[in-house]
Amino acid sequence: MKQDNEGFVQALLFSAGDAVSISDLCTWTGLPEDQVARIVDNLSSESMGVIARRFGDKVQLVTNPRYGEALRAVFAPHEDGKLSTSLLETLTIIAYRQPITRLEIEEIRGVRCAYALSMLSEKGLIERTGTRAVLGHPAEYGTTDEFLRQFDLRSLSDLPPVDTPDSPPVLPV
Amino acid sequence: MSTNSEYEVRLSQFEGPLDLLLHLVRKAEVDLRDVYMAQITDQYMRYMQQVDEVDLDRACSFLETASLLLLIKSRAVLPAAPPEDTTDDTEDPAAMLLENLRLYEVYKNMSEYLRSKEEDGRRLFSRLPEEMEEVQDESILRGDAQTLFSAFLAVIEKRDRRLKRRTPPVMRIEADLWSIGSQKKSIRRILGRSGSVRFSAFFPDDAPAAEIAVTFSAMLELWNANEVRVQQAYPFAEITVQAVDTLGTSREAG
Repeated sequence: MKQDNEGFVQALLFSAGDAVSISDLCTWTGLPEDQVARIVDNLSSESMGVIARRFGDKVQLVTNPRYGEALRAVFAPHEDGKLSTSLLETLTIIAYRQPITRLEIEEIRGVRCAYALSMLSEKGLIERTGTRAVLGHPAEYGTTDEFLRQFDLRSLSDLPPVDTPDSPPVLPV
Repeated sequence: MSTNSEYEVRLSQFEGPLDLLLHLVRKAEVDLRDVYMAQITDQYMRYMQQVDEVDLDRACSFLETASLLLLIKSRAVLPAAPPEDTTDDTEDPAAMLLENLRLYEVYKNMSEYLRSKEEDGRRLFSRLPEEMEEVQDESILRGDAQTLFSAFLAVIEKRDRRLKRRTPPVMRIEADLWSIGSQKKSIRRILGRSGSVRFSAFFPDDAPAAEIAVTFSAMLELWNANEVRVQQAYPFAEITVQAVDTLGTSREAG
């Protein structure tokens, strides 16, 4: 039966299609987390056409990135969907400085971001994570697991470190 | 394009004032640490001729920074003010603008990294989730208040149709014989006999309106008290009413 666990996890991931949390896999298989994690790692070998990709605490079966170009040549999936520069800049700042308020993002970018925030929320890349305990209780934003998935990041710590001051300077007006 | 052909980039293509400043600094080929804000102010101002081409929000931020640059430049050309406490440079708009520009540059560069990661992500293809029903208790939809209400409306409609067929319509005033308590008892009795009963079975075709109303109220109370549950095998199917386990352990909780 031990040997079958790997197959079962793979079958579960295939059937789900969507990203599945590690804890769900533990529940369904009755296996401890470290064993599930090991199985997931085994399911992402370079030689496989379909691999298990981890992001955040979730796993999803995806095609091996080495075949990405070839697949695109065959199936020509829609080319749009790339984020505009302003969305990407806003997303980058949120990714690095979360939880962050709209005002703080605008201070760094020097432009208003309400539209970018609503678009990023709509795309499921960011979400409200809470409210800042300051006057006006502004919403705080953070990135989602969907962000990690779409940018092929295993976790936020995959982002290259940057050397920045803790708080952005506030320009006098 | 022709009037401003010396500019390779239009103002509308910049994300904001910091983006434009960064572009000017890079074009001047000076390091951000050595840049003299006053130097690039003139170039920045030339771009302001196009400010009516960008939307109002961005135009405001471009102009805001323009005024800041002019302030910086005016200070730079005036004779040096008497030395204040020079240790406090947070008051120096040039220093702060530079600091902000550096911060913006960091994230702008990182957004280029994320652009490449976006490309990586687009190399991964996944299936759409299989359309499978979650395994549910007895693969039956659990009814809610809306389900009950719809079922009640169906009973009323059926009754109305039947009454309309009668000619001439007969109006009868019935004695008010029913109470919620008595109807609850009768529902419990029916459910006690046969565990699962069709909803419509509680409402006989010839039942007077008052009885139907009271029975439905009693049903709602039992449902609310978690004594009964309603289920529907599939959308639009007739709903059934069941007693919740006599042990008091609601099967719904599982």
